Amino acid sequence: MSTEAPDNYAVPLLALDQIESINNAGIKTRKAVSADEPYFIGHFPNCPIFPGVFIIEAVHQAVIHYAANYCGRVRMIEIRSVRFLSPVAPGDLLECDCRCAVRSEDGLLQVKATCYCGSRRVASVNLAYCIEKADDPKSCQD
Amino acid sequence: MILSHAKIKSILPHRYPMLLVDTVKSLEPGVSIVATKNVTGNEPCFAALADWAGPEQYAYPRTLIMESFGQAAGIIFTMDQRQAKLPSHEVLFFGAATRCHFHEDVFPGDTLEHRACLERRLSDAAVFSGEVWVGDRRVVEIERMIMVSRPTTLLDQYIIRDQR
Repeated sequence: MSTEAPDNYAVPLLALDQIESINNAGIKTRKAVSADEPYFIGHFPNCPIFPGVFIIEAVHQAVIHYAANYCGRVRMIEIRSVRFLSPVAPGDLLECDCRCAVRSEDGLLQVKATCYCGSRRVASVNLAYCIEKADDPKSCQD
Repeated sequence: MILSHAKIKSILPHRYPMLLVDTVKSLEPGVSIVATKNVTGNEPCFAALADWAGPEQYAYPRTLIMESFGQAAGIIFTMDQRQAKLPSHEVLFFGAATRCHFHEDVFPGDTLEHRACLERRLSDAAVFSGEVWVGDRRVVEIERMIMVSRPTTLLDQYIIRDQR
């Protein structure tokens, strides 16, 4: 369980505080959404709602962790689709269940994630990542 | 500039550190907007980076670019809603999006320019498309972003119910 934000890439918050499981097929993570997190004062005053983009961020941080173990450095190149189904608020335990697979046709890492708070489904997030070639760090830039 | 930061604060409910639109350069209510956000090295998202972090590691989080674009789009929606005299106690949420392509990184010192168009307007939701530019570089293309408006009272009920 880590309590500090990553120090090797910029993040708006630490959106992953526990890894429930990880294997070649994907990763499951948890994030305890706490009332004292700094962004709640502005989103929104007197009405704390976990920003939807931070659910995407939670999936993204899970994918970075997955990729470091299974495919190397990756770069998010597309939000294929995202759908928010229910708001997330302080006190919720956000769980991200991410299925990860490299597509043979384009070599992209495809991520299909479903996010839950308890039994409540809060979002579905589909992302695509370019896998950087070890010998060419600019291979994912166009 | 046609809307100052002060005016934007009177339109959007977001506040520090989540108010991610600085100015509006042009606005056609109900149609389109061009809005800016300056990215600086002083933003909270860069605070935890190690001293040894290299230039590439200062890439501004793509999720925050999306949030900033969504707020710009929200200004069109909110202005339009005011004209239609809908209740003002509603908050705008990011409901869904499809096919948002990221082309390049954004770094401290860059100014994001959001160009958002309102594609379709429903009573409590709106569909936007758009692009994000930094100078002459197009950094993001957004095919579709859906924003939904919900009363804050419904959220209060939701939160109370869930804590019980």
